[in-house]
Amino acid sequence: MTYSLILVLFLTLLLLGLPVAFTLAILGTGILYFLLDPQMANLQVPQVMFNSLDDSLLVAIPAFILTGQIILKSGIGTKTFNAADKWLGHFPGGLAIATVVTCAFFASLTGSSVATVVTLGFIASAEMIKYGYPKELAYGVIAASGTLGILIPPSGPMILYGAMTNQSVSALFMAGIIPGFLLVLFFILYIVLVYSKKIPRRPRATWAERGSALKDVSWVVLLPLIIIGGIYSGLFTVTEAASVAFVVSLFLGVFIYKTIKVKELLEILKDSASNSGMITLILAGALLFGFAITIIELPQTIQSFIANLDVNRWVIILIIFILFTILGMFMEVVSILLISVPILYPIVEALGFDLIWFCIFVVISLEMAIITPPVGMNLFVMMQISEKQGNKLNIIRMSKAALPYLLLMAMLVLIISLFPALTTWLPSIMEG
Amino acid sequence: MNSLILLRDLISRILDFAGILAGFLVGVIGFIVTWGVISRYFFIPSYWVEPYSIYLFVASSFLGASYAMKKGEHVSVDILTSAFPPTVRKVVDMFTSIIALIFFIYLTWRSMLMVSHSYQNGTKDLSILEIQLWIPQSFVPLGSFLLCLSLIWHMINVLLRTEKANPSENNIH
Repeated sequence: MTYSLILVLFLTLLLLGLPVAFTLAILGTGILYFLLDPQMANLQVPQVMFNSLDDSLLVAIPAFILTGQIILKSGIGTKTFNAADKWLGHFPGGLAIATVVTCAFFASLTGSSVATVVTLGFIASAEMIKYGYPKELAYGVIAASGTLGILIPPSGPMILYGAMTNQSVSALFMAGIIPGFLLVLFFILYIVLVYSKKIPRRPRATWAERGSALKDVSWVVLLPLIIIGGIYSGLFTVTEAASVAFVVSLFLGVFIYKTIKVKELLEILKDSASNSGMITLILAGALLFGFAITIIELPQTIQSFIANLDVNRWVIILIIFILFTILGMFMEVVSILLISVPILYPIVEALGFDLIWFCIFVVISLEMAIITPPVGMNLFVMMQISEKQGNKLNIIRMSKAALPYLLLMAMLVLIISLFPALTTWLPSIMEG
Repeated sequence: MNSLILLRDLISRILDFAGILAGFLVGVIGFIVTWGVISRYFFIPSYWVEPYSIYLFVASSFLGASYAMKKGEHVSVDILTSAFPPTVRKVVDMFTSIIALIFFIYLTWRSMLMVSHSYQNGTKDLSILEIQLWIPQSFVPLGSFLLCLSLIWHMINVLLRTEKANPSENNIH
């Protein structure tokens, strides 16, 4: 009875448009105040709000956001696409392959799938359509590849997951690498198998062109090397890697590419602080909410309910997958993650699943949410771009264009479920 | 109405300042953590980096969250409210803002008590620096207070938007 009241209140407040962060914090406080003890709420609410942010791991969030903002403003997105095109463009479906690789690279560094699609979407789709690629391929592949950023490290959602479940974020980052590359590979194979005969091939770029295109972006390749290499070798913590990446990208933007002016830097700093404040407030709210529902034993009740059902544990995972798919239709990634993980992870852990594996499972499910209608952000951005280019795709055609990639992501979920070692092997051999 | 506009513009300035301060802090965090890495390899003591970076992060988060409210960046689910007619949407917006305002007034008040409690007991943190805990804790009441202001700013905007719906004012171009 109490539980259903909480659920109804929760959904009502959310649907009335109260920000997710506020909804979580208010409901968490309400539970402590009205169901338990007002005195306890008075003492615990400010404590939990403070303690939930008092964590050196979380300092990585603003630092990675800053790095991403600087990369976005430095104008190297188009240069990266140009380099990928020169190296991969002559393969069958080469422009689309170059798009997948550029989006994966760019999205992982900027940590934002929407920003990636906004930055690369116009130029990449214009190129593809100019060379006679079908519209569905051109727009669909960009919407889908933009989502790769949260699976390939560094990944903001993984930091949040680690903070909530006490898993090592370094391990989570490593866990995302193999599935991330597999997904890139799946996308490429799909393009080659389905489209190679339908689209004209382009001449191979000369080595001189390739060399100069690669030189343009050689500095940027430093960043993933610093981040992944540093974390893998145990040289840096995740937070340190993020901060070093920020300083290096700032150096690149100001001195090498000379595209960041001092005036813009203030905007970048303000935007990053506001973005980071928004995310961390949801996190604080989610942790308060998680604290409250644990005291009233909500996860424990669900746990014993599931134990009584006596079904195969994979049925539960399937239910969670369906739940994410439904939530993904009307909420964005960070909110789904922060609301669901505090409730789900004790249940999943009790069922004997590895929490590192579960993180990758959650992240791929969330990637799918970004390209599921009606509220798939990347679909909307690509629809706007297609309209500007005079090839307007409506939401149904846009969703159809993204559907093959959605199915490939679902296939990847199935594969990592059959072979969990794909996620747990790299973290297990990591140093430190 | 004029006093409302004055109040809104005053809050707007305060929130902009909070945004600049939060941005500045975020930049400082990046540099001091990097300094921590460098100094470690040259055996320069840098045990201050971790606690300071965390507390600056707490400060930047609460300041940044109030600035984000001004920029309308806090994510919410608008699948239902976007289908409402404008008047209903305004009423609902006022209603949810008042709920949020009540919560942040409560949080400001209670977190001030937390801070004064830590101050009176002289509670210190667990780092080697033994920083007085009330200092970083004060960013919770400060941030909640700014969030109260940002909600008032938002509500004034919603109210004034109703005024603008008058046909006579629509002619101004």
